[in-house]
Amino acid sequence: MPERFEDLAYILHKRAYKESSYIIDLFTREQGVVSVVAKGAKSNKSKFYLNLQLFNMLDVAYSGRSELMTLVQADVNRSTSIAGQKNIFCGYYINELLLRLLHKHDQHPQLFDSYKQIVFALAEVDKPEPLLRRFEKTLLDEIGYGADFTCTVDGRALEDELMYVVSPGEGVMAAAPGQRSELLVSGKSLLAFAADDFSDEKTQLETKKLMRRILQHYLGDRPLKSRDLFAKTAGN
Amino acid sequence: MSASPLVEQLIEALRCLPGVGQKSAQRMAFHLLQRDRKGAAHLSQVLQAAVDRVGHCQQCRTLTEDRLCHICASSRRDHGKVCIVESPVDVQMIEHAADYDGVYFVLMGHLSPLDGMGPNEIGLDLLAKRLDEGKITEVILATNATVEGEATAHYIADMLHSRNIRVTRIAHGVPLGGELEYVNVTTLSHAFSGRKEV
Repeated sequence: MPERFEDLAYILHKRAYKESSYIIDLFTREQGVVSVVAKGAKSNKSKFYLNLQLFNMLDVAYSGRSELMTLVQADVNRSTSIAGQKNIFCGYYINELLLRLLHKHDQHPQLFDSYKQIVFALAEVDKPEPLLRRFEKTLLDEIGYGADFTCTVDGRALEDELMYVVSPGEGVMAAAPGQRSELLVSGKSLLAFAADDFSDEKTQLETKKLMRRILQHYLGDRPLKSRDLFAKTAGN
Repeated sequence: MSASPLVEQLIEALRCLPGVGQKSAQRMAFHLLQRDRKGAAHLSQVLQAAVDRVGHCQQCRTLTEDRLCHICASSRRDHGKVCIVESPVDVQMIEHAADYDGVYFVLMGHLSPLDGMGPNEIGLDLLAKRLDEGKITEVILATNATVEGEATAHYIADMLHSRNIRVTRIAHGVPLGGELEYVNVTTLSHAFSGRKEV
């Protein structure tokens, strides 16, 4: 008898498989990213019909022994109204981040809870930037790439007026004279970021550039596709 | 018992059709060869011709063997109204169901960045060009009521708002003849937020 798992899950990505099925990458609370096949799910007679939408929190059950499990149940636990809204593209972005940075079956229940929060919050807010920064930070902390933004690697507390450089994998360092300016971040913004305070526009701008650079380091050469889409919407 | 190589090939080729597995493919192949040679010859001619000649309408991207599809070429249609759909089948559905006298624009998919479907892949550059010509006054967004369809509709709506064009989205809600008890929760909540004055 193959093992059966019951869990809460979100769909990160769904692609058509054969005629009426989907292969789905689920982000589950207890088992992390899991790939499942949802057999016959496109048919309106399927018990999954209409439930398998991105950003719906699902009560799922799946079973199997191989890399590709079989979805046996998926009921909507909570749906979100993010679908028709501009922040939907942020949703695509965080899904892509998770797919690229998480290893299959690595467990991240706290990250799952953050994901749940951001999906709901994105449907409500006008300015998604602080939510995204917070999520990116949680994500990096969860996968062990987090950095302490309150002190330098040699243990000195940051100061508002000084400029710093954040090196992915190492941490915050005092800026050396003649440092390339695009790498510099103000102590004020880093401290605000650590304290989760995005009230200053400059903090938002600086942390956006900073997180983009850090994430790029871990993502490698292949660019994020959803970011293109986002850039184009913003440019409209 | 296995059939001759050519018959086997035919069976294998028929399996590319949706809904056709080994068994049906075999039934079709034997039917065509045993009982309906004329039909088979006709099928192969038409199929060849269609594959050779059918391309995309230069204006709306739907499937046609002409430069413009019959809807885009018609002078009886209102060319100021454009209905945006995901696939050519949707055009057929709307033509059957609704009393619509405008023209269409077929995306041939929806935005799905993770699958490499960006704005240009769904023809939005072509749509932008058409909008810039200034003849379009109303756009009806009839993409699917899935999250992806909604995202696509939203993206297009964004493109349109700066151009002073009337944009509408088709309604979703309780199906006609449907009882509330059996309607899916998400649909019901949509139907509620989209309720209208009577």
